[in-house]
Formats: sequence, C-alpha cells, structure tokens
Amino acid sequence: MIKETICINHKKTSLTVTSGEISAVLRSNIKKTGIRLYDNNCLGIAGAIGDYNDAELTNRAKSMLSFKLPYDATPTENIKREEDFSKELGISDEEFVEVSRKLLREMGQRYPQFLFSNKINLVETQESLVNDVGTSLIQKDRYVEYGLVMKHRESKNLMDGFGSYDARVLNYDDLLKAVSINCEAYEKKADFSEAGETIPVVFLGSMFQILMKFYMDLNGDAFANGASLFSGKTGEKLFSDDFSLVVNRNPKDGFNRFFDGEGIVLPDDRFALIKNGEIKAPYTTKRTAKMYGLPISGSASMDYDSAPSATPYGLAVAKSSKTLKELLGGRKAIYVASASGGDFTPQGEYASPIQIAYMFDGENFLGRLPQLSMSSHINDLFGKGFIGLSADNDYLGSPNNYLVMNMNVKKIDGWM
Amino acid sequence: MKYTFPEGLYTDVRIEHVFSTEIAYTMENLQDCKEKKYSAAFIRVYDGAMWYNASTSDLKGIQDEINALAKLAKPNPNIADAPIYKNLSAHKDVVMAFVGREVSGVPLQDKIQLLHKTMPFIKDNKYVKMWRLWYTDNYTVKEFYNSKGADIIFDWQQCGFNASFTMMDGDRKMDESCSVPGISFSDLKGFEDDLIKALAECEEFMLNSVAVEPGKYPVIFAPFVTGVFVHECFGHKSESDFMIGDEATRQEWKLGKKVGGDDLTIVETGNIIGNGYTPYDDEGNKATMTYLIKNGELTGRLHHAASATDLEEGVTGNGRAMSFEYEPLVRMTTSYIDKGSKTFEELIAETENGILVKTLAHGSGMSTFTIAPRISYLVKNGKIDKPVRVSVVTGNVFEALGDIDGISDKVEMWSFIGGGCGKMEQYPLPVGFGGPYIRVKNMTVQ
Repeated sequence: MIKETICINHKKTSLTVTSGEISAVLRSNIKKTGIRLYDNNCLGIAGAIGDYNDAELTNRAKSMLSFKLPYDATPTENIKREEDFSKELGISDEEFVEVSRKLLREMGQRYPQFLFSNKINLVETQESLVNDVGTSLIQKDRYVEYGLVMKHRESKNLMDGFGSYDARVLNYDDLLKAVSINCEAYEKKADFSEAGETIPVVFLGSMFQILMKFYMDLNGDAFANGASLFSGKTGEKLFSDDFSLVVNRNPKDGFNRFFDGEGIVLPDDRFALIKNGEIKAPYTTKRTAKMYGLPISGSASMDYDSAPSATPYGLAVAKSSKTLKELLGGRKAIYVASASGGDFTPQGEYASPIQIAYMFDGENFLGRLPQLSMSSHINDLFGKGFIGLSADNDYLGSPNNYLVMNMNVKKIDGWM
Repeated sequence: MKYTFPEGLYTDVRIEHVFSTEIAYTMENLQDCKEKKYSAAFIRVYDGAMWYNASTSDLKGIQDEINALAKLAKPNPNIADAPIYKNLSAHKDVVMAFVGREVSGVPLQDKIQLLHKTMPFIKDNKYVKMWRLWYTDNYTVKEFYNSKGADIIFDWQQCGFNASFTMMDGDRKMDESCSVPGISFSDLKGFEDDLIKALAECEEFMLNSVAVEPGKYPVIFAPFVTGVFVHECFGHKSESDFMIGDEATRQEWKLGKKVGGDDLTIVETGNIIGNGYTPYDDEGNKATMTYLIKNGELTGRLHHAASATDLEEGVTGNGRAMSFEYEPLVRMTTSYIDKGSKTFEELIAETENGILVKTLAHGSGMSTFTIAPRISYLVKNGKIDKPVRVSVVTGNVFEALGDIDGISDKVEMWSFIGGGCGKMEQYPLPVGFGGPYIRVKNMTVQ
C-alpha cells in the first residue's frame, strides 16, 4: 500500500470595495488535506478541512478502499522539486491595505464619473503532493489580485467595465493603468457599420470561452471514444501553422502549479496538444492515458479529496514571437473587454454577444463600441482566421497576453 | 449566550456542519467516490463603519477569532444607532425540515446502485459514444448567533444525479445532459420514462437538426429555460447591492415603473423547499415572499442588511454566502415567473415564425442576456416544424420583460444538480427557479 498526502493551504487578505471605498476586510487561512491510499489497483481517499489526525484520516481512506475505486496506474516515484515564489511580492499585509486605499483614492479623484466595486485580494498559497515512494512536490506562491468593476454614474448597466491586475510584483503605476484601463475611452463613442464584417478581434486575459471547444473535445475520454470533433484525427493538420495549443504548467507563465494531481512534472513544464495546426494528443491523466494508449499530458486534477480526473488546467495558446502591434500590422481591431454567454454548437459553430468593446489600434482605445455580436467556426477561429497570441503583455508580471483572430462582427442592440 | 461578544460592536457567527457525497462514473468506470464531512465558521464584526471578517475551520477557536477581529475594529458606543445594525435581526428559531430523511443516513452503496440502475439506458443507446454519470448530495446544518441575541439552527438538503452524454452519427454530434433532482434520496426513483424520452428526443435532434437561419424571432422558452431567463435577465438586476451609491440604476429600476405586461408577475422567496430554500439568510434575517414584479410593475427587490439600509427598504432574507469561506452578498433564492392564462398549445398556435427553446447549456445576464440552447425547434405557421441548432439567443435586459407577449398557465420549478448561480468570486450557489412557458418577441437568434 502506498500513501500519498495532498495539502492545499490558502491564506487570504480580502478587501471588499463598495462605491470606491473599502467596506470590509476578510482574513482567512484555510488548510485542506487529502490522504490517498493506493492498494491492489484501487484508490481510497479521505479529506479534511483544518487540523486533522493523520491516523484517523488514513483509516478513513483505508475504509474507502472497500468501494474499489479502480486505479491501475503507478504513483509517481522519486521526484523532488520545490518552487517558491512567495518572497517576490515583498510587501506586508498592512502595506497591501495602504496601497489599495491609495489606489482607490486616486481612482476616485481621476475618474469621479465612475463607481468602483468588487474585490482586492492578497493571496498566499502552498500546495504539495508528497508520497512514500520518494516524491515530494511543493509550490509556494504569494500574489495580489485586483479585480475592480467599473460603473459609470449615468449608466443603466450593472457594470461598464472590469479592470484587473494579478501579479507577483506590485508596481503602482502598472496597477493604476490596468484597473482603470477602460475609463479614459468609455465616454468617447466609436462608429461601427450595421453590416457584419470580418475584422481582427483582440482578447486579453481569460480566453475560457474561445477555448471552450478544446476543453470539451480534447478531453482524453471524449477523444478516445469517438465523441470529439478531433477523434481519429491525430496527426492531421486542422488549423493554422501559427497555432499551437499546450498544457502549460510553467509557474513563470502565470500562477500555474508545475505538477499535476498525479505528481506528473512535464519536461519544460509544457505539453503540446496541437502543434503548428496539427493534432498531437488530447489531455489525459495517467489512468486515461493507460486505458486508451495515449500520452500523459500532466492534466490530472488536484482536489484534495477527489480522485484525479482529466482537467484542462493550463490549456493555453502558445505565444508567437510577434508583439500585438506586429500581429495587427496597422489594422484596427475590436478589443473585447467583456463577452459572456456565448457558446459553440457541437459541430463547432461559435457565436457570442460582446457586452463591452472598444475600437483599438494596437496601442490606444479609439472609443467605445455599441453592443456587438461575434461569430465564427472552430476551424476558422484557429485556422484561416487565426492571427496569433502576442509575445508582449499588458504590464510587468502579467499572466495575460493578447489573442488576435479574425471574426465576423455585427452590431446588435445599440448603445448601453 | 454561546460566545462572549465585545462591547460597542455588532458581531455574528455562522457555523456550517456539512455532509456531502459525490460519485462519478465515466463509461462504466468508477471515477470518483467520496463522502465528505466538515464543520467551519464565518465570523463578522462591525463597528458602524467597516466590517471585519474571518473564516475558520477551527470551531474551538471562534472566540479567539472574535476577539482578534474586535481588536481591528473601533468600538462604537452608539453601535445600536447604526442604520445597518437596525436591519440585523435577533430571531431565535429551530427549523429542521429534513430530519429523518437525511442523505447522510443513506448507505453509500445504495447511491452507487442508483447509478448502476441508470447505466443501461445510456450505454445501450447506439449513438451514445461517451457518457458520464454523477451523483451528488449535501446535507447541511447551519447555526447562526449574533450580539443582538439571534440563535438560529436550520438544515438544508439536496440530492440528485446527472447523466451527460455525447451522441454521434458520422459528422452529426449532440451534447446533452439530463438531471434528476430531489430533496430526499427516495425522490430519485422513477426516472426511467423521462430518461428514455430525453434520449429519444436527443437522437431525433442529432439526426435531423439544421443550423438556424440567424435573425430576429419570437422565442418560446420551456419552463426550465424560463427559469434561467428570469434569473439571468431580471433576477440579477433585482440584487440591490449593485445599487449602493448608484443613483442612475435606482432611477432605472424605480419601484412602480411599468416594465412588462399586466399578466407578468415575478416572485422571489427562500421559503420553497428546493435548492433555493433559505429559511434564514447568512445574516440571520428571515425569508420573505418578495414580489419583484406584480402585474407588470416593479414592486420589490432583493436585499441584505447593507443594501436595505442604503436604499431605505426592508430586508428580504437574501444575504447569502456560498460557504463558510465567504461573506454574504445579495443573492437570489428561488425565483420564478408566475403562471399566465394561455395554454402551451395556444402559444405555439399563435406563432407564425419563431423558435421553441426546450433545453439549454447555460445562460448569462448583463445588459445583454444570453441563453445557449441545446434542443430548439423552429415554429412555423403555428406548428412545431423541425429541430434547429442555435448557438445563442440574446436580448436586451431593459426590453425583454416588455417583450413577453404570452405566458402559459402552469408553473414548473427546477433545481440544478451541481452548478448554480455565480456572482463575483462566489460560484456555485444553489438556487431554485422556474416558471411557465413564455414567449418573448424580438430575440436575436444565432
């Protein structure tokens, strides 16, 4: 029997911002521990929140073995690595609160026509996977998360923009610029023709919606069972030469944990699922990889008390060597500040409203656009319409780069 | 008094005792199987200007946490005069609605067997290439105490299972899921006929659906979809923490404003047993029956203590937190459109060229709300014509309620299995929703 312990420690100082002022402070320090027992190709798991008794938790995991949760892969052996990013931020909790107060004061003075709200967090994490066959993987981190909702005082909307700054460094000028990014351009309206047109569209930050089809159809189970658009297409070139999709576990490219929930550490912390437009592999766990004869992509989930399952954690478009300006090549683009609620059909057709957008020249916002919709097809988004992911990002230490692709964009409902 | 509360401050303590189960199968392979039990707490101290909060899993250390938060706050001898203080209650109550039928008393093996009973219906279907089955339950007992004397204990429960699957036939593909929600484990029996019907409809849809011609259509929403529509299109706008300090939004959503037809009534309440059941909210305020819209007129909105204070309205029992790790925000409980006067058949018969949305993947709501359908039909000349694939239905939240031009005569309520409502960082919060069939003019369909 092999024993493995997963620890997830999250410590947070969280400031609630209401009408531009801090209205609440929350301090939390939550420790979650899971014990996994591997025995006779089965897995028994038990978890605890807070302090726990190791013998009692181990016994609970032992009793779960009777339910014969199958696990025929081998626990990761003899890998030791520790990454510690917790010292980079270099500010105390008190300094964090002071910087945040200063920021809110300055934003209130600079942009009195806006109300700011939502959350500001200082997060400290320690995550580890340690087992009794010589594996010890630990990552420590400490970073700030500024997420401010912006609302114009005369607007009828619930929100008119969102500014965020997530980083392991705290550069005040970058912070101010990032969280107030849309304020300057908001009141200037830009034109957009009624008819649909194909135009470069720029996304920054979360690309969840645009990558959603890959989340679904590059899942190892779906891929191997013929339930994916990409089933049976390994080795086929379906997309642009410039498009590669990777599992990125490099902790320097964001806040990625370098190991997955089965203790897999990827060479160079990356694994290619699509390379230069060619389908290479789906994302897998050790268990799904063994079951279907697929490569292991380091994509096992790491819930403290769950069995590992395949997750699209770290799935990211590979960066190009070009800057945003070079990718746009002088063309104007639609900068999508907020687009929620869209989806792909099972066949790969994509459509989404764009709630907040700006006309953009690659450096400056030229004005706020009316309500728009965008549409395309998975084959076009990452095929003939794909322009690239920029090498540059929006501020020092930002986990975000600019994704640029041609899409069909239409005006829908006028101004909000 | 269970705790010693510091002088000159308001303090409350919310304790959660949680039991939950999750069992997951992928293609007959047991993927996960776990029972979880924990107790944890959220503590708040208020000095009339700021809230000082902490979450902890150490119940023995609650008094120490109270004392530590009190040191951060500035004691206020006039705390009882603080407007928010007046909107925090001192109820004493015990409401145990699920005792004797707790899911924690059902053997894990019985829950596994329930999924085994479901498997043949899915795996024997010739078009199903990939499927997952997932059972979940949760039994939670909440305690709430505050420095005004509140002493409340109540319980909450949900259970159910979900089958999600992908059907394929050549290039044709269909993703769908079927949920069976319940309050007690015994509610989950007798699902077979519904599952067989759902699978047959998916087959039909996958084999015969065509891409919709994009454009503006009247759209008829099935009751489940109506529930998501009311939640996304209107419910979030009723959450009045968005209106704190915001005069423009208050004017836009001024009570008394006519926003819909005379037959449109929207209700919100935490008193209905289901996912949104919240007899007391996470600030200790009691659930109310709030008519958000009555006969087409705005008549109410949702509050926690701070928003009620700011808008000078009464609390409604909608201060809810996702778990012990979070503070209460204004959140929905169970929201629904009340019944109208038409039959479903009349709604269809009156529609010349429209879309019927029967099931959906998800919805969202800001200035533009969205519904991402899974199964939809074209309605032509008063009849359901053919299945159509739709990526997304969108509409303007400020106009959509006024564009409802038909409401059917039967309300159906629904609860999600897994998932729930998201707001800011708190997702998923269990909510209930529902309504009748409704028809909305001028929706953008893509």
